[in-house]
Amino acid sequence: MTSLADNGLRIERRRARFDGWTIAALLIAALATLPVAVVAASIFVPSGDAWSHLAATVLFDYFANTLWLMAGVALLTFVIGVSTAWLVTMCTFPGRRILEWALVLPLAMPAYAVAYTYAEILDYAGIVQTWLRAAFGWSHGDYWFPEVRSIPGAVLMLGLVLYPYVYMLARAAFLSQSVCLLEISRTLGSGPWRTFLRVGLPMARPAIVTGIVLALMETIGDYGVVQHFSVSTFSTGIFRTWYGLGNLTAATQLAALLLGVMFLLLAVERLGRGGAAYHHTTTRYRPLPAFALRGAKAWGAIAACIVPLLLGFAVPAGLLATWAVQTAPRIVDGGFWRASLNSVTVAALAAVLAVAVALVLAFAARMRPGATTTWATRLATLGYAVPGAVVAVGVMIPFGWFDNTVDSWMRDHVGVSTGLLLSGTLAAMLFCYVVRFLAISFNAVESGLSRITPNMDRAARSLGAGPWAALRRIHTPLLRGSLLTAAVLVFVDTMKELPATLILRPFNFDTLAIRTYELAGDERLADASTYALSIVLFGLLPVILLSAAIARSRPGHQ
Amino acid sequence: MLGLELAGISRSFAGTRAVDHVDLAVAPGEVVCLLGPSGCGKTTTLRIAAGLEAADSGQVRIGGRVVDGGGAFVPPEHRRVGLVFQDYALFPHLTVLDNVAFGLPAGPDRAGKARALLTRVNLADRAADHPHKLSGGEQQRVALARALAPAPLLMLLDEPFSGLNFRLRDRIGEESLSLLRAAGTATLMVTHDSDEAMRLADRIAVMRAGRVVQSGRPLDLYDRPADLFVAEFFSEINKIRAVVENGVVDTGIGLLPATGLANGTSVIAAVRPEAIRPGGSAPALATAVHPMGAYALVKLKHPVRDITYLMRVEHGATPEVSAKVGARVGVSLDPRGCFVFASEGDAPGHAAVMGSR
Amino acid sequence: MHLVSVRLLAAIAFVAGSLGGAPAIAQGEVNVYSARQEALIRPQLDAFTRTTGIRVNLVTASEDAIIERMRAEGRNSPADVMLTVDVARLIRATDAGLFRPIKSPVLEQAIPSQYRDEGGRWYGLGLRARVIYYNPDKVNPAELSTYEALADAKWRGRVCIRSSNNTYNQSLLASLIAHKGAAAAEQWARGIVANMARPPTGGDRDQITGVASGECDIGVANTYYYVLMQSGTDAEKAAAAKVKAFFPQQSGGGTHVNISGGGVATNAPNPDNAQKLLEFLASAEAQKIYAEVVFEYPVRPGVAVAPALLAIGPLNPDKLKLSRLAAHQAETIRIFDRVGWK
Repeated sequence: MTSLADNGLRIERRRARFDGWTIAALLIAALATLPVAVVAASIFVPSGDAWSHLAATVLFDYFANTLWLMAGVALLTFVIGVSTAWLVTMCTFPGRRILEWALVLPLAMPAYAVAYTYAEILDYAGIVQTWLRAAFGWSHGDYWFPEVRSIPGAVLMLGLVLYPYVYMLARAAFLSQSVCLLEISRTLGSGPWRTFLRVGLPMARPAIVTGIVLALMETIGDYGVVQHFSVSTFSTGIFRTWYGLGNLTAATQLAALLLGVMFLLLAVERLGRGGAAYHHTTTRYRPLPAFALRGAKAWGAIAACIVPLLLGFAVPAGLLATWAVQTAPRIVDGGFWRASLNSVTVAALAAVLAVAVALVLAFAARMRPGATTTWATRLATLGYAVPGAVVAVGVMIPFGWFDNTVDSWMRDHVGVSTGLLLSGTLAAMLFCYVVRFLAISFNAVESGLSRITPNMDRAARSLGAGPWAALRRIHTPLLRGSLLTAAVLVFVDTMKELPATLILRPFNFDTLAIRTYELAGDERLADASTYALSIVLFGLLPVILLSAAIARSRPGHQ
Repeated sequence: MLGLELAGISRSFAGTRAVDHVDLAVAPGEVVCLLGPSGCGKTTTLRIAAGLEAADSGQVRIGGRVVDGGGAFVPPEHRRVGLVFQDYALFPHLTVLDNVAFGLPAGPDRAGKARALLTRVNLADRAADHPHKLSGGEQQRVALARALAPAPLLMLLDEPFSGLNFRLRDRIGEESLSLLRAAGTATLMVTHDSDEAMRLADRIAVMRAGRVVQSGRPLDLYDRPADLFVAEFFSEINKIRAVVENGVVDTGIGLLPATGLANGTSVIAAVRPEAIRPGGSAPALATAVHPMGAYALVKLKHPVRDITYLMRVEHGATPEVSAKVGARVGVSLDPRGCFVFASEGDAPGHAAVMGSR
Repeated sequence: MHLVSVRLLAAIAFVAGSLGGAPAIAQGEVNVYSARQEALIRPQLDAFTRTTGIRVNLVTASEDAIIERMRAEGRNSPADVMLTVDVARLIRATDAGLFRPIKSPVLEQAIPSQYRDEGGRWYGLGLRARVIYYNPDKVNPAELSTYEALADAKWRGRVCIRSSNNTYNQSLLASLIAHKGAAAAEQWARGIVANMARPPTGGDRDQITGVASGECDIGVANTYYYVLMQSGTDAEKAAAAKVKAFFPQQSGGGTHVNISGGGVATNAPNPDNAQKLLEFLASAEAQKIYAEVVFEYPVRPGVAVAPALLAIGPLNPDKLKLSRLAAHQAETIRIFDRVGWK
């Protein structure tokens, strides 16, 4: 008996470095990194004198603007996301139950659509300024008005649609934190506000940082907003270098540089955490203390929650709706419904795939903690920070190579041409989506897993459940909320995704985002509005479901 | 009196009275245990003292100052109370030193004070570690040091030692409380463990269904329980249903005086196992012996009536009794461990089943 | 070994096929990669299908993405025809070896030589003119003459023009380089930056609305956007009504024009159908659609310009051979970057 058990242990120890989990993680990382690696490999390809030109002229601007944009979005998403999450989690005030789920709505808004609508509202020729001039008899130069097409404007647009990442993750963290810790802090002399700053906030730090990183990755990858607002960032620079200078190599090198910046940021954050653990040290859950807010405080709380919701969702959706009312009868036809069906199908498939892959990856990192799996996960989730078009090129090139190599081999050896097996198929598109959105699903799954103490794994193992059985019987049910979050986020992001779809799609395959883009690109915003609004509406339902699911996910909730 | 004073505290949740007119005082340097089964309201009482809950009525004074009641409510951070939870609730994102320094005001000797406290709990060498690296006992000591750091007037301990194994529990419990006594801190400790309360408390208040049933020094409670509930909380007890006849109660192994109870009253005679002594005239059948180490519990059966008893014999006497399993033994009663209580709300006819556990 | 591989490949092919992407290589079809938006090209393609019975499969994307896609797909690329906007992109695709030369008397007769490749690899199919819009309350049309004149100091703070990311501006600058040389072109770009009423922003329509709202006095935009605004939302109609168009004459003669066009892919699986499609797009029938749906100027002589387009002014196109613009494309970006044209 004893010798058998010893044997088993020894075998496990010997194989630990290179077993199924590690291999799975490495395989996923390899596949997911492939497009990014194609991009990064461009560093070693000479790109002519493009760099000396970029360095002499615009590179500094790209750097400075991108950093400003990132700093602004980080600050804005942090302030909005964390404060609203704390308010709806820890306080009661009229309307809280509705605001609790409504606050995630901006997530369903494509950032580019928000940018279009705000430009229409706040531009010189827009609704507000036109009204001001008419009302006060001003004309050009008589008054100052903030320029929406600027870096602060872009920060505002991106912050307004991206804060829900921080909000959702922070709220989940606040919901699951121990009341005991907050109470201890109170008895140690910290008032509610200081308790929030000294305990609530730092405890939620990994979740908040994850949310901000997601927002920043999307900011870096954004092309629609910065392009529309004429802000020169790395992202616009990449396309300018590619389309304008006709230098794809230099463009991908810019993207690789961007990746480096992102990597650095992540490393700095990990360093800052030091040895602190965020597993809960307590297992007691009491209903969260609901600070009942009344009077001015209640109004303040309502305002704090409603303003981002109004600006990030109601106003742009409202404007889109007024346009859509005028144009929908002309726009809604068979093509519209086909595009809708395509969008929903592709988004659902991408969501399931991305979550499944993330689950395996996150579980591998947990089962076999170590440098190998850590690096595998970091590499596998890089795709999010790369503009979609660049990832798409990174998919297209190796897939085309694969197809043509197989085809040549088959022609030579079998006399049959296999043509393009993967290029221009849905499979290639889905692969690209997974690469791009794995960061989102992985982070959601991982933060869910981190809340399940390793003792549960051990308990399951001791009860005879193997790692796969533990995954199926323990983690999956406990993770349901996180998995759902992951799936919905990927679904919504895929609904909004544009450049990769555009580049990789099969023949005669339209999505709502493509239609929106084409019409908006032709400056037919009113016609585009029906499609844009449909993206929002199709994304809305799962977002609402998600929000309800998170509210139910508090441990011990009956 | 300074320290903690609770006067007529009540608190309801959703119509249920969790705390019902509780009066309680803890003097500086005194350790009072709130003892009771789970759901008796002891934790709510503690939370009201801490300011984590507000009382519906009544008054809370700490250090002579009214902190709750009469329209006043001082939030927990201004009450100068320390709190230690069962699971210690150490801040996982802070080092041990930072945990202890958490409640100390910013200043040049903040770290020094925290370090001094860690030295007092013998954890100076773990200052830079994060809590998850510490053992349970070490975590408990950090939690105590953290609560002590701001020199609270009142220390509130919520089952503070129940997470520890029992050997550690004794030692750490005594060390902790001597630290608190030395600091002159009034200490209110909630527990459901009567042995712990007995050993550590200066006074014990037993709670049941939101009320303090009895309070006093540990031995007073043990020797003069106010009712069956208190009596059976401190040890196993033989309960024998009977009726008062001629001013006495017949337990089947001896008569007990039924002081103050009229003849014909249905009563329960509570007999502690150690109050049944081997050697005596009362006959009983020994059916089993459960050795407990220092002593043994002997299961007895009344030769005629359907009553069973537990008798406690010291280790030295065990072999002798063990030899008699299945045979008759003679026993006697020590009245100091026997109590008679009127059985509440029980119809006399109900007492058909006589017997103990 | 072979057997296993074949079965594996068959399985992969099956999966790929069932996922919907199996490219059409069958007879009676033609596959189009288009950098023109679907709405602008569908009517012509539908007319082609009606006339010939050949089905058209379409995928649209940005020009450079299509070029990369065709490169990656290599000899197995299903693309028969690539359609795009802007001559620079046509030439870039040509340089990448993506177009095959075709010999078509029909095309040569229909399309003037300045709008097609000498080697027969690409053909222009529609013309767009980049013109000046002005506020008649503030600008006397007599003050307007050429693009070069917009760099004059008298327009300081009065000009609205798009970002240099925009192809139309890139080609405009390329035409100036072709006419005047790089140094003069750079001088001009510097002058325009100095004259900007605001940092470059928005699309073509935004330049026109900028003029209408008084933010600037002069705007530069393509013709068809103005015509589309005239039939757009109420706000757009109002804005268009406040603005007039002026067709600048290059000193070399004519207004700067650019083309939309296409060519037959090198690896086209259906080259005959591809050529038929191009010939159809150059036909009077399709050219009429270009004029009426897209408000482009027909490239084929003799096809009527849309009345709405004609109403804003007669076009006298620059005689420059468009293939010459491509050589200067990369230089334009460098100039824009140097002069700080965002």
